[in-house]
Amino acid sequence: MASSKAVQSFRNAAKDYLFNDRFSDFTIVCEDQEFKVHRCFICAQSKWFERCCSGIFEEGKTNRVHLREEHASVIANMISFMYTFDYNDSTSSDTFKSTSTEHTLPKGSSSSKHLTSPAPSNALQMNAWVYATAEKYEILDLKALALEKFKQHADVTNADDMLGAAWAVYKHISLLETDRQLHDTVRDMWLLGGKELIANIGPEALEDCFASIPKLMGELLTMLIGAFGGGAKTVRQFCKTCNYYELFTTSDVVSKEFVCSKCPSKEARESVRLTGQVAVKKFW
Amino acid sequence: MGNRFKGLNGADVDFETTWKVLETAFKEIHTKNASALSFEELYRNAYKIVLKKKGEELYNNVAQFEANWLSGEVRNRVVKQLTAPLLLLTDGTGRSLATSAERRVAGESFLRALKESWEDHQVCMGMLTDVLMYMDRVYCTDHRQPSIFAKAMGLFRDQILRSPVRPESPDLIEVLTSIVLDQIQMHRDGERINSHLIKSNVYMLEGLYESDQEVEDAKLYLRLFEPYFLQTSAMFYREEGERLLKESDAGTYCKEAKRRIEEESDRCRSTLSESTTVKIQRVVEDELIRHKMKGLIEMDSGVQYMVDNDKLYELGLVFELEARVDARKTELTKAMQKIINEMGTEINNAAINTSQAPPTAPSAQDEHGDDRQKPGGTRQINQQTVAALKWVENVLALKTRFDNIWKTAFASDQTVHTALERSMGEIINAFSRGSEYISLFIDENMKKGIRDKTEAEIDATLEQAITTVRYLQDKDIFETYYKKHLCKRLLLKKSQSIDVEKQMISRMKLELGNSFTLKLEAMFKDMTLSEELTSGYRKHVAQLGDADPKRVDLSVSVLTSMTWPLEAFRGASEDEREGRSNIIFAASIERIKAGFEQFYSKKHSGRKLTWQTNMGDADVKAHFPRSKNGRPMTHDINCSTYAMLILLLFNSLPSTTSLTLEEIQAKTNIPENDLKRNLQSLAVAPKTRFLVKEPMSREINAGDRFSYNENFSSKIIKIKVGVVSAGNKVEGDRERKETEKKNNDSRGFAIEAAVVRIMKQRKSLPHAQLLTETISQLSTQFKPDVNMIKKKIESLIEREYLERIEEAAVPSYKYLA
Repeated sequence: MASSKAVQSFRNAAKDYLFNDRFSDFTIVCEDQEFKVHRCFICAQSKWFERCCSGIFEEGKTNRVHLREEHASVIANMISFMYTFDYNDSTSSDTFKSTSTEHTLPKGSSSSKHLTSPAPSNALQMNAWVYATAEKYEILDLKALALEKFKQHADVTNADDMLGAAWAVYKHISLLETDRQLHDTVRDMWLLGGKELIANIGPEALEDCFASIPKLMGELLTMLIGAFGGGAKTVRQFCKTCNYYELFTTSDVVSKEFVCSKCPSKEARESVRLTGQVAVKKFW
Repeated sequence: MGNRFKGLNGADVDFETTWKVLETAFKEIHTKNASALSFEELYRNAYKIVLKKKGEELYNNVAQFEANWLSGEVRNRVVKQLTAPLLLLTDGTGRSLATSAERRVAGESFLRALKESWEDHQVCMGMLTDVLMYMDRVYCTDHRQPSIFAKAMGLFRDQILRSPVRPESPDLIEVLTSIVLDQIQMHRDGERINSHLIKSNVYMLEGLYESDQEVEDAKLYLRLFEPYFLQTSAMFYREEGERLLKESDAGTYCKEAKRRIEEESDRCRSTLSESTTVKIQRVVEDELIRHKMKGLIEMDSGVQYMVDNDKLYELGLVFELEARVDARKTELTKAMQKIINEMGTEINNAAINTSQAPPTAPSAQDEHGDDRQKPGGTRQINQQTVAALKWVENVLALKTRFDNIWKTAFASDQTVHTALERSMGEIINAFSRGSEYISLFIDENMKKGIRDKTEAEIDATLEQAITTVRYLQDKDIFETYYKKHLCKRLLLKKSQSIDVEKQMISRMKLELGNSFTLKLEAMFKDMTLSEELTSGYRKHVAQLGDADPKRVDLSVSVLTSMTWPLEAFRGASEDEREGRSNIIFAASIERIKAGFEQFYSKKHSGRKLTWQTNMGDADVKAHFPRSKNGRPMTHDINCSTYAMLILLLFNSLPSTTSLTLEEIQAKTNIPENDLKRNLQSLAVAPKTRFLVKEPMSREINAGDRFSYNENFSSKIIKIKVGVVSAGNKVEGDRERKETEKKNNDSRGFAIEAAVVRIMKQRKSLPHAQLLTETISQLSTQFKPDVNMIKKKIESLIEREYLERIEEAAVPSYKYLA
């Protein structure tokens, strides 16, 4: 085993080649950007790139791959991980531009194909996208890292973050149905946000969201409804006259005539309070 | 519910459209037109299908596509190459109907077509696997389906190999097998074939399995090819082996078998699969070696012939062959042992014959008076000595010969060595006089053999002697003889070199252990001490100031009586030994004898000296008046002590006075037999006739008269009087019986001692174990006879050293302190 010092110096050295066309032998094109990469770095991390580079398909011959239906910012992060084992999930274009030397393709080039999904606009979305990309190109370490970063950025009080995460995970990215780690996290974040989150979002935006993402709504509802059921219920009897109420268990109500203790009225209306429990996996 | 939300996600896909894209691309791939295809695009399409849970449809579509392609395109291409001569191969008629050249060419084009189809299929499926990697990863893993690559390989098996060439005819793989076997047969017959082509097809069969489960031992090669290959090979080699045994000699057979084995190994490497090497070797070994070894060894030109004619290389081949199939080389070892046994028995018989042959008619030249007067027995004894030397030399030659075979041809193999050594041991021990003969061999070399030899040669001789001793089981008997022979060599100063004698002893010490040489070393010690004693005595005499020049000089060997086998000197007349002590010495002799006794008892009080007068010798100066051409001359005579005593009698007599036999005996008290023999030497033997006998005849009889021979004449100054029975010779039957008896007695003591030693330590022991331990304790000395052990145990019980344990489950003994 190499000492950790040696590993560290290799990592430092590898970093220098990120987005550096020195010795570059392969090009990744995405949207209007070209990334100069090194086959030995990308193939070491991804079986997909290994096959892509070595096959006798067009890519293997031209040493160039065009990744369609991807966002350049996401691909940049993926490449970044391949060299540094980390990436920067900030979406402010400043930080991204300053550390990269990718070439911008001339405007109007044929490769800037229409993308059906909007580019990630915050860290949560970025991590969700990186997660999906890692799955597609088979970079399992990156997938784990993206999930971790996704959870780190969850601020359940931030309405924009919550909405953005919901859109990104449930609408923009595609994953196997069985791959539910991001979905579960988003759902749990919403539950954790509670009524404060609903207030923050505002009724209209909420309605919009649920209309657009019925899957999220369905999953939330399933969780919530599933939280109640069976057991004793607490009954409140309100005096119709003075609105004074008393608490009873259900059986008490059946056996006893209502007489208000503050006024002579004997008429009452009843309401039942339900309590339930939802378990949320700790992700923060 | 699922339906309501389906299609809402942004990147929806339509399966049919997407599949069309893929299918088109796959066709391009199969027609080797893939370079314009984008891996990214194909992967992305397949990826999306799998994400949308259409993995199974995709998988089935690909499989169907491949099946169609194989059955439609590929099979035709291959079958087209199956021309008539090939199709007939499977039913066995093809070989006779087409020439091998035709079959070879046709076969090769079929093999080539199949090879190319297979390789194409692999390349294409490699590309498809790349494109479909997400399907393999997700769908196949989750649903326990073979990878699409494995699936497609199975399709190749089913659609190409396992499908009949045409309706009602055998599967393609059977045709393939028979073509390959046919080509291999051509190769065995010495034709050139394209082994690379076959190898490619074998490689295909090794890459395919009977089912899609891909179980390692269900490879098509192992199931559908190899068994037939081994079967036809066995048949071929069975016939070839039989033919070779009939048609050629053993050496050629071995070379051929070796070549075939190597050839098959090479074939596995170059043409078939290395995994078959061991199996085909086993087949060839079975057919050409294991089943034929006995026949091969027993051929006229077999092992016996090879040994007789020193065909070491061929013997090496036989060894090498059998070593392949039998780590113990049973057959060869057996044959070799038999040969050694026969040759050994011959040597033994020759020795017996020589020793028992009637003496050859004495030729005139041999007729020395000495011989004439001796009975025929002496000559027979000489003949026996010759037989002994010859025997040892022959045994050694045999040993050298087989050692050489063993080293050169049998790769110094340990197992064979053990067996050969056992046989050598058997023949040496089978010869009853082995111990005596070996000792005589050493004796002869010590006396004469090493005279002109270099140190290295002497070393080799000693080593040879030890080699034979090593085999002896009855080392105690050998010890007896060796002691006897050594005794005479030392006392009669016959040994060429005491150094060499000592070397021999130290070799024996190494080989046989300390206890063996203890007594032998003691003999040397006695000799050294005696020399010191003699010189000490001379100094003592000089100090006495008795400077009488006529004083008799004395040299004494004081021998420890238990160590020396003095009976060696006894000759045939043993009953008279008591008379020896009463020998009457001449006064001058008696004086120094007493002087020495006095000197010795001063040095070592309490020791008793017994004079072995029969073993001594003396130097006498004798004066004869007409010896040198009628002029006087003084001779130095070396003779036995007895002869000296007899001669001294005549010193004090006038030259004309004669003495009768009886008078001489009365004056000297020499035992009658010794006296007669000495008188024979002094009065009958022509060269040493110092006395005149009357009447002149060969035999010494009562009343014969003896007188000083004034007319003795000889040119030689130093005369040695022949000493009867001075040399070491083979024992006569009587002597042998005695030696045997003595030996048995001493064995009896050794056994008793061993039994007591063991029992003293163990206190009680079962009978069987006591026997085993006794035998193992004594094995360095001799191989005890079980009956003798039993008798000795009985006798120890009688003498109350041991008792039987009555209630023991197995017969056991207890030691009685």
